[in-house]
Amino acid sequence: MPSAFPPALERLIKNFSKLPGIGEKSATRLALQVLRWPEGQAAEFAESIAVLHSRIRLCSSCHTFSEQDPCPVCADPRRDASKICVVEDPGDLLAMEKAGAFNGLYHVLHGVLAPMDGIGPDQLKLKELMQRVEQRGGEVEVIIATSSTAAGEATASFLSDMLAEKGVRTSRIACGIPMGMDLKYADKMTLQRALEARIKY
Amino acid sequence: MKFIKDSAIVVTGRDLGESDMLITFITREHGKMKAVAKGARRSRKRFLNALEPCTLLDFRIVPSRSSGLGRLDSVEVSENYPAIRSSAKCFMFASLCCELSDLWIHENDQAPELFKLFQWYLESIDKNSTNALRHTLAFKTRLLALAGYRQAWDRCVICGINPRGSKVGFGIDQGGCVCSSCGAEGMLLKDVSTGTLRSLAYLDSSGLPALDRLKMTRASMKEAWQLLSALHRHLLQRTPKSYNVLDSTLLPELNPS
Repeated sequence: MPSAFPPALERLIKNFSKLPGIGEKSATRLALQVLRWPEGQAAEFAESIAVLHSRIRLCSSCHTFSEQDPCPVCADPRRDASKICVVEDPGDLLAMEKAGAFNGLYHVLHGVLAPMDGIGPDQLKLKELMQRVEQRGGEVEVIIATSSTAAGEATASFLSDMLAEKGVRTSRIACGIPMGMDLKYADKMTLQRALEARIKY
Repeated sequence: MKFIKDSAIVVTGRDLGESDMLITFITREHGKMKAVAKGARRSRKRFLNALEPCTLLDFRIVPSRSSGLGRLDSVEVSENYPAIRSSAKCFMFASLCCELSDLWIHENDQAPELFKLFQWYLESIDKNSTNALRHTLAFKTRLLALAGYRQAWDRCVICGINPRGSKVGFGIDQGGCVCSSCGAEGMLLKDVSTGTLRSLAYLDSSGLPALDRLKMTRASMKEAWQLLSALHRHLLQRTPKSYNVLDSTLLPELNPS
């Protein structure tokens, strides 16, 4: 059956529906909205998508998405280069930056160990991290900030073994009770970890 | 409302739509089951770290009114095996066992023996990670038997006698070793040492607590790993993804030279 929409609109609907969480109905709604915009606004929208791949690349040092190489964080001389915080993906780096509690550098792994998805150490930016550490002669503290999921913990363990072989100082971010949480609602494992990671008060 | 209640081990969790997850379990009484965990990705409060692979839990599922997927109503974690999470090696071995269980067992097939085997496996490598490789070999050997492909490890699959000599031909197609008098032209036989085959027979048939008594050399474990991998790949007609990761990273010394 021929489509009720003109081919150009049909094409936009198809492309919108490739986005995660967007079905055909939502894609149609979005495409019609774009059609209602003034031509200039639609062109600006299209241009912002078009330049994405040509402008954004991976920072050659920390491997986060950036328009500059090195990225603004790696290029900032005020950052403490003796500390490297290892995160899973660029979203985690942004969360850490928003918190404003860390003044060192980052390293983005672009994933965690997931053997069932065929992701092993070779698919992560681990060799690049080792190179960075070696360039600094091992005089660096690596803070492993992968998630406290099974895969994140296993990745942290793998990384920690690799770094221990090189004699690099390694630490792991703490895991425990979130701020504002009532203790009685915490699960068994979180409570165990919180007690293990307790600090002198 | 009618619920399905059971104990289970989480085998996989996949994203479904924007906020849900599709969870696959190996259950104690209902075999392999899949269920949708509504909102599991949006909020961690409801299923709070319970839906990670290799977690033992009690669940309650609301069955679908049609023949579709049930909805996960509640879960309570019994054990999450923290030592497996904190060892990359154990995590990778356990991931392989999760993937193999998922591939070998059909949905709703009864698999109480697999549940028992899986629970033993996770407990044993959680307690002692040094046994992880040997216990993974035992898991893979017994999984073949549970799937209906028990191999004739230490007797000729054709005449039934115990083959002699230090090496024996093992027929992947035949499902066991083939003695020199039964071996025919055209049979694709893999030379395996009799010691390795005896170890595999022991891993297949001894009581689970007795497995720790088995001593295997590094060479024998390498040979056993290769043979079992070849059998799983051949019988499943595909290569589980975890094998690619294990072969290229953790077990380079066990790969064929």
